[in-house]
Amino acid sequence: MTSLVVVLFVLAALPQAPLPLPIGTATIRGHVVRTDGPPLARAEVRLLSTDKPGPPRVAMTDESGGYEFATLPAGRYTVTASKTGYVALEFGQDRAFEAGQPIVLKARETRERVDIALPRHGAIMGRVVDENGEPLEGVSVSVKEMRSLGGRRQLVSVPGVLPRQTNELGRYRVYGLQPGDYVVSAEVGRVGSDDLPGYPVTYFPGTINPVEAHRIHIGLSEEVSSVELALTPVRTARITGRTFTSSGEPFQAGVQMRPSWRSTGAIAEAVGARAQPDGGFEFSNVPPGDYVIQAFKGAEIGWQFVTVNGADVTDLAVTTLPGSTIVGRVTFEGAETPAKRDLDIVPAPADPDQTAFFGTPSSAEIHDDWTFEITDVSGPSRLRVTRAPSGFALKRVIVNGLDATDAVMPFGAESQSVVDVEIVLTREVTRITGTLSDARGAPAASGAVIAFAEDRERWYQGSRFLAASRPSQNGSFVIAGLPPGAYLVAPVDRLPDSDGWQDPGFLGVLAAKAMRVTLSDGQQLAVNVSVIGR
Amino acid sequence: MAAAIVLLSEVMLSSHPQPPARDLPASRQSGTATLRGRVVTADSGEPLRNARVALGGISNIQPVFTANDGRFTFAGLPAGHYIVSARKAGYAPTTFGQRRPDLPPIPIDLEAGDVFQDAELRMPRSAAISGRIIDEFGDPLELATVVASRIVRKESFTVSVAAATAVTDDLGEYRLGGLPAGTYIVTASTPKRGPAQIRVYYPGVAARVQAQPIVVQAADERLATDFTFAPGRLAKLTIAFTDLKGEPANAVAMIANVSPWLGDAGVNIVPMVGSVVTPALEPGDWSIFARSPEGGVGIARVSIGSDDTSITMPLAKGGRVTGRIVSETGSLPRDTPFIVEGFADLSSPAGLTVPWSARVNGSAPFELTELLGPRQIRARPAVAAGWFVTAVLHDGRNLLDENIDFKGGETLSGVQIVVSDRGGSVNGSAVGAEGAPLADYFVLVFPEETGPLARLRRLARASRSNQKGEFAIEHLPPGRYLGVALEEVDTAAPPTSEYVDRLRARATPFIVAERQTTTVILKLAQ
Repeated sequence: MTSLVVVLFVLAALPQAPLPLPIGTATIRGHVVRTDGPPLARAEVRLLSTDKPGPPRVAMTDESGGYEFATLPAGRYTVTASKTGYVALEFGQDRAFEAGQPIVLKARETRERVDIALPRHGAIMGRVVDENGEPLEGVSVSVKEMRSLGGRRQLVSVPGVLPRQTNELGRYRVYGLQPGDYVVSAEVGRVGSDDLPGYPVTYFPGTINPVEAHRIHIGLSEEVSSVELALTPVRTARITGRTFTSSGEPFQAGVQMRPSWRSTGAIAEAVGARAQPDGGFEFSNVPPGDYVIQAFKGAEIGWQFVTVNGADVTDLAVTTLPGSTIVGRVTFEGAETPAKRDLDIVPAPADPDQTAFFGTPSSAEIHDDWTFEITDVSGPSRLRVTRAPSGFALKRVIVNGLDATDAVMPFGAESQSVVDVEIVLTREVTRITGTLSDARGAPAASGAVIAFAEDRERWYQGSRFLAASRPSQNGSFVIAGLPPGAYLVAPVDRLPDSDGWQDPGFLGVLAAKAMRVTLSDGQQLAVNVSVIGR
Repeated sequence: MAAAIVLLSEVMLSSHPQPPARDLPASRQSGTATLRGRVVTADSGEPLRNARVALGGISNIQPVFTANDGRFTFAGLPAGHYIVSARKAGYAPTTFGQRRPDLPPIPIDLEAGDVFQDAELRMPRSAAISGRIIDEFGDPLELATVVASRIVRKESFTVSVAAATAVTDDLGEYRLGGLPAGTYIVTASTPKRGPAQIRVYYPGVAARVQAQPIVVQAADERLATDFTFAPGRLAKLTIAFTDLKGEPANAVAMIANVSPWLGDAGVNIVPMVGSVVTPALEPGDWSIFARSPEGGVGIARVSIGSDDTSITMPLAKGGRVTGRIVSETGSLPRDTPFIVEGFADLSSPAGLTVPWSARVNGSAPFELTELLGPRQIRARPAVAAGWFVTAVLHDGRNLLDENIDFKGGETLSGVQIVVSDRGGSVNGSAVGAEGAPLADYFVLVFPEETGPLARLRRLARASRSNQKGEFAIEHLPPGRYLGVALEEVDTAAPPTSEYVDRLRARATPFIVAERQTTTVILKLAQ
């Protein structure tokens, strides 16, 4: 019995701080309140040292919202407060995505009034009804964000915000929202279920195409109600088929299906099929639309496009391909060869529908003699140098003696393998330098500059004709390595998250107010751009 | 938890023989029978559109949805025994011919080519209970699980059946909708599952005995059913386990709350390990079963109030029964599994803890261990119906329907459980007081000869007339029976000797013979 107690004690002690917290003489005190005034009791306050690594100190506020961290060593700290139902904020932060204000403490200093006001989360409420205006119960309502990932619009879930089911009145409440623009979707009897068939996934205010969904703006602590969705039944169909490996063997595959990007313009979530050991698969309750079905087994992937229009689709055969191999070498214009192989070569997927739904794409293994090999390549792709040695840029890609720079090549079958690829790197790197200034003419430390080819054909995901740069503290920026050509340069006051700025729609808007520049081989160009309208 | 559910079904089975297991249709069975009907509101008779109508009995038939006139059709059905039920948001789930949720519905028996047109389902509006749950500091409690359990009173006990579950939102608010009229207990549990999970009963009490039932009628809205999650201090029960010599013994124990009602929402089983264990328990009656690694077993029942309690649980050597199942006629199919039970009556503390059973194939030997307290040796077919016990033979005695009191370490070996599949059937119709045929009635059949209660409950069967006003009961052990038609029969509560004695005057006698069907006309008893 004694030994059991000891073991438990050790287990309980292990996850705790392995190092004792450093002891000092400084103190931080403050209050956590609601933005409308009342104190927030039992809010969690976390103190983190920004100059010394270590576990945070955690305190809970008392009845009056007060908290205290005593015996702190001198140093630089951030203080963050959180509570269920409220947006977590750092001291000095008004909004979740802005920078907070660190606190610099001297020895024996007591800093008072480190107060944090937490806004409540936002929420979206409403009702889901059927074609007769009668409530639909058990509908899963999700709030999503339209994000651009890899230059493609994609609906993504909002972290920490759970889908909610409608009650018997058809009502829902989705909460926990930070300020932002959201898409509301309602889903009942999803593909593969027989629960309440006939209703497609519907986006507010009543479209089945996520691109046509209205964005609902949620301000700080805002609750938007009456977001009502009416679902209209459609003729659904069943898709059945079998999966085969490249050698013709039927196999029980992972089979996934999602609406085709070509017809919706956005990437939707994939659903899985009911699969049988003999390779048979089935998707039931499929609304009309264009779909892409993907089967995968190990590194083998197969695709099949299907158009559904109310009638069952049967006997579909999906055959996986073993993947192609790309073999080649890296060469350098001029005499200089970089010392290190700081280089990434990837086959960048050119068609979202023929990109693996899951997993990471293959990348090149680069050998000591600058030869390289990429295996298991599937789907149409461009060869891209995503990282070049310092001072070098891609000049051209030569496949079987022909220029294949920026060309889309089909991959998947063994016969589509290529063994004579030359990737030519050059020291003639173009540079656009300049200063970003705000509306008053002062250097702008925030915002960004985007340079993009004038030719709209170059506006695709991962294009090397698109580049963005954030300015340094004095407003200066550098965009290096763009291929020669005609470009448009435009300032933005905020860079859309991830690579959302590569969205052709976004670039199209920027083009109207952009500055035109021409770059030749290795040209150094200086420009000055201003952020207008701030 | 699993044990609790098993035990509840044991209670049901004691009076309710398992319905014949139906072979699952291979896939998308088709036939030539048709079933049509209409879904309407119970109050005004207005048609309900888009109601989901499902067939029970055969699982592979896809549900259908009603048209604008409330009508639905199942065509191409195989011959069979169908239960029709409907769901629609805002209405209580409704089954054809079901007067109350605890009474059996009217089955629809269809032969090949039959067309039944009149399945009218009258859906009452559902009730809802909604409110807000706050913690002891007044903050809304998010992600608490709130359950409305319907209380169903039985003859000797009460069960609670979860009818709706909701999770509180960021405002602490919940809504339990879709409830049929009835009496409900509302419980809220803290988000984290496990031993640290705390349950509170409306209006904010820790003990189910203090819970305030909420009675709702059709279409009732119980708004503002608010309560505070302020868990009070629970009394501690200290259990010291001792072995045969009275020395402290290590044991694994399960403790289940068995009062005042049983059911999925009401029974929580707490596992315990050690020689002295001290769980904190809500007030009420608790049943404890313990076993030691050395083979000792113990059973106890204890009432917990608000004060700490200590008990000593002596572990005794469990009783053991071994034997074989034999067929009356000699042949026992190899692939017919049986479940052999050391059945404990509900009145014994063991009755509500763990069922002692063994599953055996054909004539393979069986063994029941850890037996303590009064037990009956029973057997029933695990899958196919049709087999029944005719005798339990040991040392020249027939122990069928007898209680064997296991006090510690008794062993009965070489027990022969004699089974037969040579039962008979009874079917027929019923007439009212003036001799007019009845369209809708219940049936109770029971042995003519009076005898022990266990025998009455083993042989009694309840049923309900189908859509044609006919009834059928299969697999009855041969013998002399009485049958009676009733306005209502509680098929979940076992009949008592006094109850059937009152029915004898209006009952019709009949004889069930091996592999034969007897047809009778039963009379309605008031």
